[in-house]
Amino acid sequence: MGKTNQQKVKDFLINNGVIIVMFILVIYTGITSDNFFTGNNLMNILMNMSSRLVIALGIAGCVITAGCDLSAGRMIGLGACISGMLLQRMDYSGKFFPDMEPLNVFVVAVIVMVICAAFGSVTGFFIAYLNVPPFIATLAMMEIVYGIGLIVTGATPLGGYVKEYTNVANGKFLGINYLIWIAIIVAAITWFIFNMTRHGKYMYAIGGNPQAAEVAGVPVKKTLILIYMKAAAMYGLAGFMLGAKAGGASIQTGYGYEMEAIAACTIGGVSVTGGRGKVSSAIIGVAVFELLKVALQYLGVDANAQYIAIGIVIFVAISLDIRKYIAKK
Amino acid sequence: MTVEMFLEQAGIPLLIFVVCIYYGVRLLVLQDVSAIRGKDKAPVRDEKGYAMGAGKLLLFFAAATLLMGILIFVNVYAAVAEIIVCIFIMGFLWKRMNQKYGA
Repeated sequence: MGKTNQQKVKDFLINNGVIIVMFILVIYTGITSDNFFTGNNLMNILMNMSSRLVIALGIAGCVITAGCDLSAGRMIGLGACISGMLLQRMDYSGKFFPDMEPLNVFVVAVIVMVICAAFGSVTGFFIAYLNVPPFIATLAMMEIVYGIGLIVTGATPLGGYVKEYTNVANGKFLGINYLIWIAIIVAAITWFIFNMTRHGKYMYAIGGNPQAAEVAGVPVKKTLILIYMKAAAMYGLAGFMLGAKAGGASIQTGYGYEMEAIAACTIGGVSVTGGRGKVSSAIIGVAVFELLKVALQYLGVDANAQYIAIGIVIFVAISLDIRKYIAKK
Repeated sequence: MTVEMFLEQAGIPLLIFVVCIYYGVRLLVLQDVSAIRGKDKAPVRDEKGYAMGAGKLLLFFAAATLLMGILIFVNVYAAVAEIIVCIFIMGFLWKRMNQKYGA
């Protein structure tokens, strides 16, 4: 028997409750604050969103396969530190490699992505071939990456970047910051991978039912390794972007970002139970999350209380996601 | 060394230690395999054996993590080498455990 209109409206309100509440909060903040609905603020939000979106898109792939990646934050930190080490000015007193000329910015971005992807492939190997649950494998990788980061940087913060690197955050093309362009390009590539490639279809199949996928001939192990590798490359890129934006980095850069990214994906509609989620889900989730943070700042909410508010949003979003899953079942 | 500095260096290993202890004890005591496998995965052959094996491995990983937290202050290279070796040992033991009791 079909649902009545009243039931449909009720389901819509419950399923999109978090987004609706956020939308109301943003409208309220915009009305009560003078500078909220301004071009500058919008650009700031988009810039903050850019690196978060890259992380969320990486994690979305893992979440779609009913996995997770807790090593994202540490990979971001390592990525930011490696980028910083290779892009310091020659005249900077605390230069990490005093005799080494700074490399080309694009080359560094690629190096960082490749290094992080290598770590991601090891995580994928543990999950796919050794059957270690994703949360334990990524927790272990988090620790390895953290240790390597400590060795590489000596726990010293990095700074004194070349102008070409900081320009990645400050420079504009068609009036839009490069960081935002990078996020747009990554989102477009991810959309293509999710929707137009065999790998994308395999990913959803594994998330829906890994046993059925294996029986149907999906190369589950290879696909899982690729997913974690691709995600790690994205974290590396996000670290590169964050370093450029902040003008400095330390091994603590990106701390806790993995939780925010998983939460953003869930808010947007990527299901933690696997098999469901789109690029637009990650974009919506990240936007909602960033808008919430900015709105709370504008409303003068205490910085510590903001964590509580964000925690409540995550809690509600995941509860609603589970509710959707149970209803579907 | 202040508490803040200590936590900055060893905070992550300590956090992971607590998480592993929680799941390890939960597996050993409650034998709740779904805590680490999720509710939708295929059931394991021997739930009790799997829970015991996974619980012990998680406690092993917790101990390795704690050791890393201590070694960080002595020699970072030794700490990283220790955790890499322990994680690989855990990975291969996990595979064996999964073959014995898993799906």
